[in-house]
Amino acid sequence: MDQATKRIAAHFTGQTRFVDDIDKPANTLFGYIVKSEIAYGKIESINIKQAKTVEGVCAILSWRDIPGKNSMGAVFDDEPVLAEDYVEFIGQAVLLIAAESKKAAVEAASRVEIVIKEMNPLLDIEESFAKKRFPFDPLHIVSGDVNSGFKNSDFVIEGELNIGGQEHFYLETNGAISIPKADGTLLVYSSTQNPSENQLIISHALNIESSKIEVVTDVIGGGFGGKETQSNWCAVWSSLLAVNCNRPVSMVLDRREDMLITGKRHPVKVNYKAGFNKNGRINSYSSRFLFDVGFSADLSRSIIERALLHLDNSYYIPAVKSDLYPCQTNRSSNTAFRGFGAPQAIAVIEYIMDEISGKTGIDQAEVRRRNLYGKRVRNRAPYGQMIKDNILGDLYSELMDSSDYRERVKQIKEFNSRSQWKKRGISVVPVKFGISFTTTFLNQGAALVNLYKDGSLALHQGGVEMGQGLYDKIIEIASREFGIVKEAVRICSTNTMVIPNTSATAASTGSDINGHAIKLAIDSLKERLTAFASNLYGIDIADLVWENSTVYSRKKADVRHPLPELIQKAYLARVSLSEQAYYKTPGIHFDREISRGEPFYYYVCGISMSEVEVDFLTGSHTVQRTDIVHDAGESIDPLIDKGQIEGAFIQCLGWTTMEELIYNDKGLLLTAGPDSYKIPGIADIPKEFRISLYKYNPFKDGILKSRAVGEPPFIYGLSVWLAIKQAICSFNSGHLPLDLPATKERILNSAYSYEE
Amino acid sequence: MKSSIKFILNGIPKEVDFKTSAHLSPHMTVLQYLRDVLKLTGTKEGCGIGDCGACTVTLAERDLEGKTVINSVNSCLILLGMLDNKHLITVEGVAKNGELHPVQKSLQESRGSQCGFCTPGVVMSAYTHYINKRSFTRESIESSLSGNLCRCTGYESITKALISLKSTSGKKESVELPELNCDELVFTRGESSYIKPCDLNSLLKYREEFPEYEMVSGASDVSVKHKNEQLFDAKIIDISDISDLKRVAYEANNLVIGSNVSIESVKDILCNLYSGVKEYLCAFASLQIRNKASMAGSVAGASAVGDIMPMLLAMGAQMKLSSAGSSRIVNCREFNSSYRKHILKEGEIIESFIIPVPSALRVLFLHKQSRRKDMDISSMTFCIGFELDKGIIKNVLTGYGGMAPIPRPSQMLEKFLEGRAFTEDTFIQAKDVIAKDFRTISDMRGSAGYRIMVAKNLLIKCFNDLKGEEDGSGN
Repeated sequence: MDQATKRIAAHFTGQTRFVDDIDKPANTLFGYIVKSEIAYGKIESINIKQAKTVEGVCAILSWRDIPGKNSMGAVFDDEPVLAEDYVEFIGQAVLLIAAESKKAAVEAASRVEIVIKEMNPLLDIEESFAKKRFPFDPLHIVSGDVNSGFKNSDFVIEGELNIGGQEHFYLETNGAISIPKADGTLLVYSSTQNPSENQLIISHALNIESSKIEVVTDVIGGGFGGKETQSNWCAVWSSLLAVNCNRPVSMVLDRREDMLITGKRHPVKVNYKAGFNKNGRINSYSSRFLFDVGFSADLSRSIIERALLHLDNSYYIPAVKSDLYPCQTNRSSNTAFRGFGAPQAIAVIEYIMDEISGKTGIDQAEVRRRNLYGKRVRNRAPYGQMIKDNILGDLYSELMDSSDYRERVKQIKEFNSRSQWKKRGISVVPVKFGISFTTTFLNQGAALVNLYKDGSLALHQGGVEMGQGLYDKIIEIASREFGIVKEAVRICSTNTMVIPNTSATAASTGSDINGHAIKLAIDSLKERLTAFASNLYGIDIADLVWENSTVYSRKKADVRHPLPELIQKAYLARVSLSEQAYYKTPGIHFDREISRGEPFYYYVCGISMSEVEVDFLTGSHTVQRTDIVHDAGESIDPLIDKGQIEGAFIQCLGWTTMEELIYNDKGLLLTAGPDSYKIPGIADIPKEFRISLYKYNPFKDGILKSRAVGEPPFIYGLSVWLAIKQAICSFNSGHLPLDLPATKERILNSAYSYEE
Repeated sequence: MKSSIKFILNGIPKEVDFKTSAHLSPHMTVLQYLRDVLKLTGTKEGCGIGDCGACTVTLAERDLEGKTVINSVNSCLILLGMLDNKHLITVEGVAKNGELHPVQKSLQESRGSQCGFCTPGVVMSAYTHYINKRSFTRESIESSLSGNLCRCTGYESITKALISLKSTSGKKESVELPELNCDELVFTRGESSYIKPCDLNSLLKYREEFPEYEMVSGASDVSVKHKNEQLFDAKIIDISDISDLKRVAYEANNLVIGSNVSIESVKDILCNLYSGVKEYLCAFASLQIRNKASMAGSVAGASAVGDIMPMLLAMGAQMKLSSAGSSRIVNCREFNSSYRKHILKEGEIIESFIIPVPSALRVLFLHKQSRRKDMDISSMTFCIGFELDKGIIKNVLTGYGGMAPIPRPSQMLEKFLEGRAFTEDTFIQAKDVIAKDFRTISDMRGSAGYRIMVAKNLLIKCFNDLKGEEDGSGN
C-alpha cells in the first residue's frame, strides 16, 4: 500500500491522529478560556485571587501578561488576543487558565470574578449601517449606466432578501498543542488551514522571531475556511500559556466553545433592483449589500470583494451598480467559509433570475440560458475581465439533455395539478467561479523535494490536507511527473520550518499553487538527473523516458534501469538530490480603487438542477433528484473531485434549508450546538444524485490540465432553495419572498402569505 | 456487593476495580475512559452530547432470555459502570489481523471518508448493522446512520459504499460475553456515588434511601447535563441492567411495557398495535440513542417537547408507579403537573407503561414537526387516536407536545370531534378549536404563530392520512 492509501485506510481503523489524539508529553497542561458572557460592556474589575488558590492551577493570564502585541487581526489591527477594556461579543476570551487537569481549570474559572458594566450591544445590521459602523471602507462597483438600463426595461423589480450565516461545523473543533523547547523555540501542533499565520500571530504575541516558532499541521478534521484565521485563537492562547508555564499546553475547544468563539459565514441583508425585458434578458442590476462582519474585520474585506466579483454569477449584465457595506456587530467575527462571499452574491442574482421567470412567464431554465455570458460578445464581466474560457452554454445543453428536463417539467405540472397539498418544483443554477486569491500576493507557493539514496522521494509543500485530497493529488502529480511509483513517494506534514511564508490552503487554490510548485521542483530535479542519466547510460536526452521508477531509451524499451540504481550513482557522482521551487500564478491583477482588473487566473464553471417536493401542510420537503454537470478539466482524481462536489452541494443544501444561527436579544447564540443547530443528516440528501464531470473544456489552465474544485460546487445547493421557491409558486402564485435558509417555518410563511 | 466491573474490550477481558484505581470512576463516560485512560483515540468527540455520532461504539450484551444483542451506542453518553458484563467494540477492534473489515474496505474503495473525523463513528454504525446481518438498503442505511453527522462527504459516497455490501451474507459474527456476575456495584468516592442494583426490590430500597440520586439508563440526559454544566461529582443509580424493568407482556386487554425497554424495542413492539408508530419513533433521536434511551427517561424529564408523552396520551396509556412497598396506577394524563414537574413522589419510580390493545375500529395519527428529519428536538408534536365507527368519530384521545408548558391533550379538540362525522369539513372546523385551546410561545425551535399554523394544518394532514388508510390508497 502506498502512503496515500494508508493515510485513508487509517481513517477507517481509527489510527489517524488529529491534534487531540497526539501522544502528549506527560507534563502537558490543560488550557482553558474564561469567556465573556456579555456581548458588549466595559470591564471594571477582574479578581483572580480565589481562582489562583485552586489546586493544580499553574497560570491565569490576562492581556497584561502578553509579552508582545495584544493584537491578532489577520488584515486589520483590530482584534485583541484577550479582551482589554471592553468585551465585544459573547464568548470573547478575557483570561486564560493553565491547569494540571480540566477539573482544576473549570473550578478556577468558576472562581474568577469579572465585573463588566453591561452596555447596549449592537446586534442589528441596519442599525450598524445607519451608525456607519464600518471597520473598513465600503466597497463599490459601477459598470454601465444602471439608471438608463432601468428606463429602457419592460419590467423593473425591487426587493429585499435576508441571507443567513452558517456555522462551519467541521467535525474536529479548533485546537492546538504548544510545546516549549529548552533552546527557546516553540513547537506547535495546530489544526489549521494556515500554519504560517499561526506562526506570525504567535510571534507577535510572544515577541519571539518567527524562525523560532515551528507550526506543524499533519491532518485536520475539516476546515471549510473555518480554520483559516479562526485557528489562530487556540494556537496563540496555548502558546502564551505554554511559554508562561514553560510546560506543554493542550487547548482543544469543546463544541459549544467553538461555536460561540469562532466566526461564521456572513449573514447578509440585500436590497436589489433589476430591470429586464419581456424576452427575459436583464439590462440593469443595482444592489446594496449589508454584511454582518461581527466585532472585527478579520478577512471580511476580501470576502466582500469576492462577493463584488460574483454579483454576475454566470450572466452578462450590461449595467451593474453595487454598494457593499461591512457592518460591525457584537458577535463573533465572521470569516471565510467555502465560497468566501460569492454564495451570498450569487444567491441574489439567482433569486432575480427566478423573479424574471415569474414576471415574464418564461421558463426559469430558459431565462437563465438567455442571460448566460456569450462566447464572442456579451462576455466581459462588470470588473473588466474577459470570460475567455466560457463553456456555460455547452454545459447548459448537456444538462438539459442528460436530465430529461422538458419531460420532467411536464410531469411536474401534471403532478401539481392533481395534488392539493404537495407540490413539486425544479430549478437550474449555473456557476462561474473565479479561481485565485483576489489578494494577488497570496497567489504564491513553494515546494521542496528530496530524493534519498535508495531512490525514494519525499515531498514538502505549503498546503494543508483537510480532507479535500490535496495530499493524494500532490503525490499523484509527483509520481506522474517524475515517473516514480507511488509506493516510493512520501508527502510530509506541513511545517513552517521547511516551507516558509505559505498562503492559507483556501480559495480552492491548494492543488494549483502547491501542485505547480511541486511540479517545478520535480522538473528541475529531473532535468539535472536527465543529464546525468544520459551520460551514464549513453542515451540521448531526447530519448530518455522516466516511467514506473525506471529510466530507459525510447529506442530500447526493453532495457530498463531501475531508479534506485540511478539515484545511488548520482549521489556518488555528487549530483544534488534535492530541489526547492517557487511558483506564482501568472497574469493576474486587480485595482481595488476602481474595482477593475483581471483578478482570476481562470473560472470554474458548472451547472446544477434540483427537483423538490414540498408538503404545504408541514413545510417539509424532499429533494427528489439532483443533476450536476461540472467542469473538472482533466481531473487528477475523479473520485476525490466527485466527493468535493457532493460534499459542497450538501453543505449548501444545509445553508439554504435548515441551518440557522439564532441569537437572543442579548447577543447570545442560542443554537450553539448540534442539538439545536442542524446540519444535514444522511436522510436529507437527494433521493437520486447524478454527477457528471465535463471533460471537453479546451482551456487547460490548472495543474496537469485539471481545475480547482473546492468551492465552486457549493453554489449548486442553491438549486434546492430555488426549486422550493418554484414549488411555493405553484401552491400560491402570490407568495411572499423566500429568505434563506428556507426552513419549514419560512416555507409556510411564504406560502400562506395571502391565505390566513 | 462489588466495587469492580468485568467486561470485554475488543476481544480482551478487562477488569476495573474502582476502589484501587483512583483515576477511574464508574460515572465517567465510556468516551473519557477510552480516550483519556486507555489512549484509544480512534473514538472521537465531535460534540460530547450524543448529537454527532463521532463517538459511536458497538456494545454487545444479553437480553432477557440470555441471547446476545449487539447495538451501536454513543460512547459520550453511556457510563463506564454500564459496561459490566458486556463486550465493547471500538473502531480499533474492527479490522482483524491487519485486514480491513468488508465495511471498512468498501468505504475506502468509495472514498466514504474525507477529513476522517466522523469516520470511526460511521464505521461503527455500519459495522453494527453488518454484524447484525441487516441488509444494506438505502432506507436501512439511513436508519442505522441517523445519528452520524458528516460534514465533508455529503453522505453519497458512504451510502454507495454500504449499498454495495448488499449481497454480503454469511453467518452472524459471534461476539462473546463475559460470565454474568449480577452482584450489585456500589461505589462512593468523595461526593460522588454510583449504585447499580440488579433487581427492582433493591432499586426501590436505594431509591427510598437516596431519593436525590439521579436514575440513569441510557444516560442521554445526565451526560449532556454534566457536559454542559461541567459537573464532575455525580450521584447516580444505574438502572440499565434491571430485568424487571425490561419485561413486555400482554395482561388482560393491555400491553405492559417495562419502563426501561429501549425505545428502539418499543418501536418494534408498538408496531404490532399501530403501524404508524414506526415512522414516528424512527424520528425519535438517532438509532444510537434509541438503543439505550427509555420511555421512562423521556417522560420523567417532563419536557414540554418530549415525543413519547403525546404518543402515550393518544394511546390512552397508563403508568405503574412504584416505591418500596407500594404501587399505584395512574393515567398518563395525570402525570405532568406543571412545567418540568410531574407527580412522582420521593422514592417513587415509573415501573411500566400500560397500553390498551386497540379495538379494530381504532385509528392513530402521530406527527413530529422538527427542523430536520432525524435526531432533532421537535418544534411541536401532535398525536391523536379515535374509533371510527361507521363514519363517526368516537372516544377521541389527543396528545400535544411543544404547545404548552407540559405535553397535554386538547380536551377542547376531543370534545369537539366526539360524535362528529369523519369528514374534511369536521377537521377544517377543528382548526379554530386548536387556536382557542393553546397559547404557544416563540423560541429557537419556532415562533408561536408557526406552532399554531402547523397544529391547524396537521388536522388536515391527519384527516388526509387516515382517510388514505381507510380507502387503502395511502397518501
